[in-house]
Amino acid sequence: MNGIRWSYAINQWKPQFDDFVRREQHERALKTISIAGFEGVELTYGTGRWEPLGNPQQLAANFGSVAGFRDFVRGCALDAVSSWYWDPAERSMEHLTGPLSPLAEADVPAIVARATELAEALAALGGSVLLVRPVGGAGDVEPLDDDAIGRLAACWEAVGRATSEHGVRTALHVDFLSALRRDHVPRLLDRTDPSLVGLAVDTGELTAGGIDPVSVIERSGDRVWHVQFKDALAVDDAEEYLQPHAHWTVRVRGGAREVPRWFAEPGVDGGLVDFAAVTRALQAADYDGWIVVESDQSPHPAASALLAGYLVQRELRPLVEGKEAA
Amino acid sequence: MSDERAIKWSYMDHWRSNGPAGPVDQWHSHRTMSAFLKQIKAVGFDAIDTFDFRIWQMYGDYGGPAKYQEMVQDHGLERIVNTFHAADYDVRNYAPHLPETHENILEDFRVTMGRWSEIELDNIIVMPATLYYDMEPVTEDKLKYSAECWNKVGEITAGSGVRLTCHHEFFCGIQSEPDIDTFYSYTDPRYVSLFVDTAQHCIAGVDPVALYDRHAHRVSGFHFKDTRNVATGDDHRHRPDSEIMAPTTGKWFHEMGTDQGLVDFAAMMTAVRDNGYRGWISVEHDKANKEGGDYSESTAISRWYAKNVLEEIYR
Amino acid sequence: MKDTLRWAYALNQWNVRLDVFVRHEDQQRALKTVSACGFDTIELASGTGRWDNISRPEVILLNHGSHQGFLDFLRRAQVRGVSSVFWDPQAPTEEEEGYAFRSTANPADADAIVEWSKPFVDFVAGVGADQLVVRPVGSAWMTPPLDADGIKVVADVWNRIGERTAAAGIGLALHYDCLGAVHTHAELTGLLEATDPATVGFALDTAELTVGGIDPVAFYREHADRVTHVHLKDTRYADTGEEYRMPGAESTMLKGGAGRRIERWFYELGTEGGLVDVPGFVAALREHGYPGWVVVESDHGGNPAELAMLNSWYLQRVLGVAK
Repeated sequence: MNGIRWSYAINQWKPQFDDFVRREQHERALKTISIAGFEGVELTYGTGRWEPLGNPQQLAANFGSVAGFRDFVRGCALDAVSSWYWDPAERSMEHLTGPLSPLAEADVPAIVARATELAEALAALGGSVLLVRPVGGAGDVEPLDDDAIGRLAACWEAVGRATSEHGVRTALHVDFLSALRRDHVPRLLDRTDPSLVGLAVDTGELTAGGIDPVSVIERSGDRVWHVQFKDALAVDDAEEYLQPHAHWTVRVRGGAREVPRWFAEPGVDGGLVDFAAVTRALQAADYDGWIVVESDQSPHPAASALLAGYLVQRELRPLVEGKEAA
Repeated sequence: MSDERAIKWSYMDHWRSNGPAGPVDQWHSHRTMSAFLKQIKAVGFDAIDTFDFRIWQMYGDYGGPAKYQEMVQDHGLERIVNTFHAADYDVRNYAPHLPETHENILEDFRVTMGRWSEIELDNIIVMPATLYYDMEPVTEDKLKYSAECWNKVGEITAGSGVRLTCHHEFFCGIQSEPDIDTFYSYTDPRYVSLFVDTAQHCIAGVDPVALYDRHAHRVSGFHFKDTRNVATGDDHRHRPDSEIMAPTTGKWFHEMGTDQGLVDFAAMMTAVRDNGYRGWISVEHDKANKEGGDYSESTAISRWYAKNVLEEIYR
Repeated sequence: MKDTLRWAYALNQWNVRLDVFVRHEDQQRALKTVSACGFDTIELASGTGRWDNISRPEVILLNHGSHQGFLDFLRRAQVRGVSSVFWDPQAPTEEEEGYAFRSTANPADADAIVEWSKPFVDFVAGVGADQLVVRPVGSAWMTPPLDADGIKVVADVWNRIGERTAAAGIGLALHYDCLGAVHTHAELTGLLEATDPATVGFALDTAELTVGGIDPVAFYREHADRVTHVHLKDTRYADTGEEYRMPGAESTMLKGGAGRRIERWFYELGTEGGLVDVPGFVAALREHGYPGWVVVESDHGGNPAELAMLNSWYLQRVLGVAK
């Protein structure tokens, strides 16, 4: 890929399992993303018949084939599915499997096989990055010793090798609850082959985790294979991410402070991320690839997409294009 | 109101409210749960029904079903009456018409009943078949295998003092009038009951009042909800999903008392009275927030209808 | 509600924008919701134009033919009647009054405002309601502070209208709100003193007083004889002292968060962090044998049905009012 391309994440349209199931809703969302100025859409893995955009089997069940979905996306005037987010700990009703763990060597073949399916479909959809949750939450796994880091590295290298055969890069998406938050990220990156595994920088997740995304880009810029722009409205400065089931108690419920909302579209009132600074840091690192804008969740998904589109068009893309022109 | 009432009203747990980052259900937090229970109580419901899959939140957030039920009671509601067992039907491992999957189903219920053992439920409600397209063609043999499966499941649940009762979604394999009748002819009345969902039967083209009258001795409860549409064409076998993806209809279910509703609730309530039914009627308005609807309002409107129309017929 | 106090519910929270709450079926749903919550009487808010067809008397009559026709409409939802109607003569009305801006603080407007009251007086009497509840004066940010003479100008208008309401057999209640030019305890007391106790009463709104820095329980105890109407709602915030004077305070303070990111000022009873001592206030009403209506409202606070149900729960379970 040459230069930076802008995409928008679909996940904000599906707040509950029975939402965003119908074709006309997908069409309206994709058209909204398109007209807001984005070229691509990022999908989030899901399972079962109420997740029509969740995995290749469901795409085929709903659109006849993966290619049928590609035509649907293009019919909404988007070029591509930029990327797919997948957490192997999500069960698969299509495969009748429960959670898979990258820490368990026995699960690695299944993880590689599943990632391969996603990468194959993604390639057919014009995408280039499979984002993975590299390990569970800090409160839900044993502390990561060297051996554990080694097992993770081996798993994701194997995945990276498999997806690269389809022209799809594997990028580790470290969220603010991750056992890899803080110093573990470089430890894992250092143990992986730079040609097989990269990093997905999520500005909102890093900021909520108390980590400046600019510093991550400055330190590991050559490893950044994917970027997500979302804003953070609060920081987990009490390290609540160390609690068990923090996905539920901290992310969903907001922890002890009952944070009403951790994330929103870039530029939201009260947002903590300096997107101009992040964009300049990406340029300085010669970043080449997708920037996926997201709000994660939203009370008004279309409004979030349009507000983010305004910010990208008016402030962020000019920063990038200014440099490219020069 | 005195305890002399023949009918009490329970609220089936579909619910969404608007949170700061989009819609949330009542299990989102203790605060949203409390707000839910307050609203249900305010308009005069007596109790709630729930889903089996909520058991994890009951254990995780409230210390188990008994503790959760205490919270329900602290809000002035009696108890949890019924639970709905929403299983992942799959012809590979969980399909009542396929005997080779029965042991897996039975084991599921052994485990499930153990999880609920700390409180007393009236019914565990099931959809008695896979999705229609996974069962068709619906043959007498398949109905018979399904009945055998539920007879055994009913024996397990009866061991825990809970009735196994069947709720016939319009998109499941046992939804037509003759198939329902055949199915009950093979099931054991001691172990398998019928749970009449007024809207589901109506959508499937079955008159819920006539069905109830015919099987009244087998009926262990009701979902009172309404619909404005009868399924047409392949609606009931639309792949991969009929309930919320059928092209003809974006929203199948409406609260009772809705304009243009197809269910004759006055006739239904009259039949409930004339058959001498005493006990719980559950009110449901599954997916009320679709197409601009609102759960709080639908709950108020349905309870208004129960109080001002149905209780005038039978209470 | 089965109680010695008379409880009603305000419909204003449903009418949040000019293009909503216009269709009769939407209004029926709101009325049934209120009824299911145990309230059989409602308060109407004022409005303007053909899309305010459950607010503006002339338009209500166009929709339902007569007072009786409107009452029949309410009774379809098991709502028995109307406690009160709210009217703000300062709010410009499009169709009925030619979009004129008038103020009770301007002596030149007095005759017109008195004349404008006629459809409201007639309607309140016609539907058998008890009180015409009014905004006595415009917002503080729009005018210089009122001195005693200014307050007397305002009071005179209401004394004149009070004669009309008395003649029609209904009450007139001046409603304090947190943005009004009559803002301080002294100004409010001054206005009450300048009006005729025989014909002009006070509509005490618990949340508005609290936002404005006046303790509603204490104020009620001081002025119980003047209180002829009550709005019961809660708030989590009080004005810092000057916010009501922000230019465009209706937007910049009440909708714009006063620069403090306050998303919502008014809340249902029992809200966490609520500043109003609701049980204390209701106990004071009971002590004094308050005879008027207690109108519960949540004033554009969120989802109307949800708030009505939470308010009903509070009445039943916390205040012990039988439904």
